[in-house]
Amino acid sequence: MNHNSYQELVKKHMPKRSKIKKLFLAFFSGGMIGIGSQLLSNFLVYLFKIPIKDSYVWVGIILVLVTALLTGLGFFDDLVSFFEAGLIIPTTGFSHAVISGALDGKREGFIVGISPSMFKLCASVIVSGVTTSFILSIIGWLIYG
Amino acid sequence: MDSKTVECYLHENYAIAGSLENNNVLKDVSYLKDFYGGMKSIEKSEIRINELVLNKLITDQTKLVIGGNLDNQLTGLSYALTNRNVNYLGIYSACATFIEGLIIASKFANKKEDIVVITSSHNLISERQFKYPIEYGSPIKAYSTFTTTGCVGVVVNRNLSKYKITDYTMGKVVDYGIDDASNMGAVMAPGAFETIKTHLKNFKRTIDYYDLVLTGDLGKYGLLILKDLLKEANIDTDNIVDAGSLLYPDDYNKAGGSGPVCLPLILFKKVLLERKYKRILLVGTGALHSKVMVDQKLTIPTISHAVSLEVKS
Repeated sequence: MNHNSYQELVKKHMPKRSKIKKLFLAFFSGGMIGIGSQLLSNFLVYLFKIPIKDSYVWVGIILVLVTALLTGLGFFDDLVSFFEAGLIIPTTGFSHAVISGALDGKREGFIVGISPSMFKLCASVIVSGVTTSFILSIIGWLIYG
Repeated sequence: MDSKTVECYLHENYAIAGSLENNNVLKDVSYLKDFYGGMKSIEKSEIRINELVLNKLITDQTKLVIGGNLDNQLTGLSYALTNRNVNYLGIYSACATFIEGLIIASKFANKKEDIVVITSSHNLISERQFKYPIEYGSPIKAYSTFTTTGCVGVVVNRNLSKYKITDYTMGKVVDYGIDDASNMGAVMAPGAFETIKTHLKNFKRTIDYYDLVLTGDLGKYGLLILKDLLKEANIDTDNIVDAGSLLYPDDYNKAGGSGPVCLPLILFKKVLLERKYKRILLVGTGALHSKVMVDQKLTIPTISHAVSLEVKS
């Protein structure tokens, strides 16, 4: 049997999960995080009388902290497996990747365990972020001087 | 070369399984309370379950231990064997390790000395080694199987017992061009297919000769693929059962169990205790990949070994 016809055979037997349900779950969970963050920002502005710009920074910090806490307590991986992209795309996904890596290396100690495995999954995000911002700033400098 | 008639017997066995396997499928098994089993790390917990099984099975008569698991460098077993007065052959063919162990043991078996064949697997170790960090939640595919936690050992020699190994067929490495590491069933089904076909041909048997053909860990969907492949080769498929797909009957998120421990766990703690079958063909299937090879987008090769087991009542 050649490889193509085998792949057809495999495809025939694979269970199909509805993409619409996945889309809805991601839209719902991502949207809820958005609404929650906006409410939190309004709340911070109202309560502490800080500028709106500062409140966004605080919201980011709080999201990262809550995700880190939930990951450490062992809930967040189940939530990600269920809601998928809705929780991976926001900053929660980044925090989750860092903390789960750190937990993975805890038995090997700080230097060879925790520190390198913290960036195992998110190193590519950091590298592509730095590279993109470098290229964009050069383009901006060439255009605007 | 690839098929041969042998004579050796299986004696006492002992099994430990993880907490998630404690779901009324298996009988007469000790269960761990959690993935750690009282140890400080998951690696130590796999060493510990190997030690517990070896403690039960190794006697003064035991001269050789043959076994392996999914850990890098087989540490789970090697560390458990430290300072024991037995010889050790570490083997690896992923989830077909137990059957490979039985084939090698059948060559060395005699009437005076015992051989222990042992295998183990640990869900979190495999997760860490083959996929992502343990606490990282990645989307789970409906067709991906779940590595079983546990350890099973059996004593093999040539003294008569109820369970006799009569012949075996060694497998060949097969690759049908699947590169999706979460779809182990599709990777391993061709291996099982080739080995079953060769086995039946070499011994001039039909599949009805066996009351049960027990494959290792193809999962629900891998089993469907295997049945289709066999039907195309005009081989009947009514008596084929997959050990992995029996393990988590109520969990629809898992396509079944996987890992080298799956097949012996179901064989010794479910199938043989039911006493329904006289002739059983055991087909272990293993995917021979590593994370590096999968990341380099290479397709995954597979191996499958088969052993015939005769049960005397």
